[in-house]
Amino acid sequence: MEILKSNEQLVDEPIEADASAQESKTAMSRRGFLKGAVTGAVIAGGVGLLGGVSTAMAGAKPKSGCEDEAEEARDIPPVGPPAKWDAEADVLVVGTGGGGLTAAVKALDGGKSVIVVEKVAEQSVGGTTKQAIVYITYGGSRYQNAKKFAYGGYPFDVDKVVQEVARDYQYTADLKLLRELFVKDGECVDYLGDLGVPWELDPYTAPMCHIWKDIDKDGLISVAIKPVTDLVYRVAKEKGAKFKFESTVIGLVSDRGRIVGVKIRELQTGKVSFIKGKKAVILASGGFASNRPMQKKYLPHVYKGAACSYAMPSDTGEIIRMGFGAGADIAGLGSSTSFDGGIDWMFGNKGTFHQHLYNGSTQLSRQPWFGVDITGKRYPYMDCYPNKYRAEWELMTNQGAVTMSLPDGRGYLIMDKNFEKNIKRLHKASFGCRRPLTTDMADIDRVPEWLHPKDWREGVEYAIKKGAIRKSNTIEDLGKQLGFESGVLPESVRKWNEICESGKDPEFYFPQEWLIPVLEGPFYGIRIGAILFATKCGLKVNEKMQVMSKETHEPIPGLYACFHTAGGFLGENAISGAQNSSCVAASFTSGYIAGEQVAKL
Amino acid sequence: MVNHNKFVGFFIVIAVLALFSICASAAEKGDLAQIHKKADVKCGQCHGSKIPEKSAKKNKHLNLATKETCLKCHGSYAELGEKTKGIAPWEENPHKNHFGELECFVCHKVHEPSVYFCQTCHIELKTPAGWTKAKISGVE
Repeated sequence: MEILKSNEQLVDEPIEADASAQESKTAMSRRGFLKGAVTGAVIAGGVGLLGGVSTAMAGAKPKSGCEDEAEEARDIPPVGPPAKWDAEADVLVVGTGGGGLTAAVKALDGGKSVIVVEKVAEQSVGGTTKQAIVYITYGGSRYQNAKKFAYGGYPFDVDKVVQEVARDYQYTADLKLLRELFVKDGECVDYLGDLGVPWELDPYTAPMCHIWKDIDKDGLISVAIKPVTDLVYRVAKEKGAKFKFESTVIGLVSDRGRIVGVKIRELQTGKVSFIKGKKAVILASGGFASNRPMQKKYLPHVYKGAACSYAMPSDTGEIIRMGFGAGADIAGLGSSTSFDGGIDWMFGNKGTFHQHLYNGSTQLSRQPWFGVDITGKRYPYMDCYPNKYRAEWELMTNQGAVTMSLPDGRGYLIMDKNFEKNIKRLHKASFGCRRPLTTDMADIDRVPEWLHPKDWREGVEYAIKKGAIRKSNTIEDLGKQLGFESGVLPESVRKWNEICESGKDPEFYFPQEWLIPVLEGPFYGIRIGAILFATKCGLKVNEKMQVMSKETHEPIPGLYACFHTAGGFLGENAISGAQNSSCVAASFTSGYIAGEQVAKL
Repeated sequence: MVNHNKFVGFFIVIAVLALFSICASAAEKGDLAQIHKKADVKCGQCHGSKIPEKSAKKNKHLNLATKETCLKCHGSYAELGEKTKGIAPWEENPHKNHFGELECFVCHKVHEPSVYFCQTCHIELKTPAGWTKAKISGVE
């Protein structure tokens, strides 16, 4: 029996089945079927029992005959050089997020010719970076210097900051790399300012957040970085970069150990061609937030505990697999960053893993409603444990970690018919991206109609219609829909209502205004996990953003990577880590450094 | 024993017929050439009117049908977008996508199973019945 159980875990199920398996008897019987199929496979072929475990730990070796690993997670070996190149430039950049675009512009500044390859269409330029909100730095930008601000005290002491961050991540991060990033963060903000970005320090948060001037008039911060990526793209074109959109890289080209270019396929026509990067190839194609098999292999907590992802769906991770295939070492195994309160749309096949952070229903599910795990136990809500030295977003990522650590990586929020009125009582938790959007907000028209609703209630209505938010007239039936054992949820609600009536929460310290009883039907229930927004595992780089070889521990000639194709920004095994130098900073600044380095070649 | 064999034989026939019907219906759903044939659309209507019907199969220099050809019968992209829209504007709609107005054959293959192009990046989208799942971006 033990053998069968081990093998069952090795089966890669489709995303939909993975989530729904825990919900219905039909899905249970399907698992049984898979189990049977695996038994057959074991008898017939002798699958390596521990292959999955050793693979995940080793990380980077190409697999042969290892049947447990999904194709989408395997390393992709490089190809040899062609007889004739179809195009060439000094520097070849893969990806048009903040990192790729900034690297391109910096390389152009140094007199290098640049080709940028991007798989999405031109109108989606900006990668996952464009969806973000603020460029957060510890200090050192001219905007911060003008206010005489630096984290930990002005003037900016980078070594003090590095030590603090190092401690947070158990000294597992490359401190030389972090130091270089924190020093260059301010430089890069200033550089983007020189290119024309009208930065201001966000007046509503700590003076670490650089934001496009006046964009945050009224708390509407959806796609607030997009104007920045749009501007850098425009500058890159003006300076002479050649962009090749709708083209996916299908192989790194290696010539006797040096990465010299890429093999690409045009998505629409299928035409295959080779592009040479004479001096350098910079990989800046994001992480693998959309690749569940890679998450299973490299980020087990995410695989278990992330209910959805807010990164771009195009973050499918193939460039990282190519880097590993070319011999790159791994950094940041097990590390990622997630927010709290992600609705599990895949539970019962109600929707996809990718969900927009501002889709309205997520603004409902990120509030401190009455929440329990599948056994009926409550769990902490991080806003009740404030730390004056830390920023608000760290509460959010910690809440992501809390959810990931629950049984099955899932929590359950229960509310009654008055949720629309009661959400106002939770306003202390409703800051930043948790804030429900309304149509009377300034600049609401900046959000295109197809992206997400402009009124949070519209998004909630949609999620109820689709069945991602469950609805019932009785708590017992609601519990049944969510997968609770009979009687568990009614008992939990009864206890909660007693706490609300007493006005005190000795267990988790919810403030009085959050003690909202669940009394009047219809009742609503939401299965939540974490919202993944950045994978922090990828190719190991040094402080020059050169990709490091697993074999020689020296840079792989010709190869550079930016975050989040590179990994290790949060050290090792940070299941939902965060630091004040944000994902946006990691992306732009690593591109700035890579561009600066290749400009010298 | 004889009866038993007859019984088994009967089930094999039924099973083969059932399998055939499943394959046939799956093929029918994906096989746009058959659907066009049933609707009495002549080869030349898509591949150029000069091509004689009988030699169409052997002719290797057929004009590839462009979206203009398809849209003549199937309506504009906007009309197609209406047919495939969800209940909210932010739901995925293959005929109203960020690549703009793609050539129809990028997905609809006509003489082979169609491929859901959006899955190249949106790897989680469900494959329509009778279609082939698109290869993940970056994989040959």
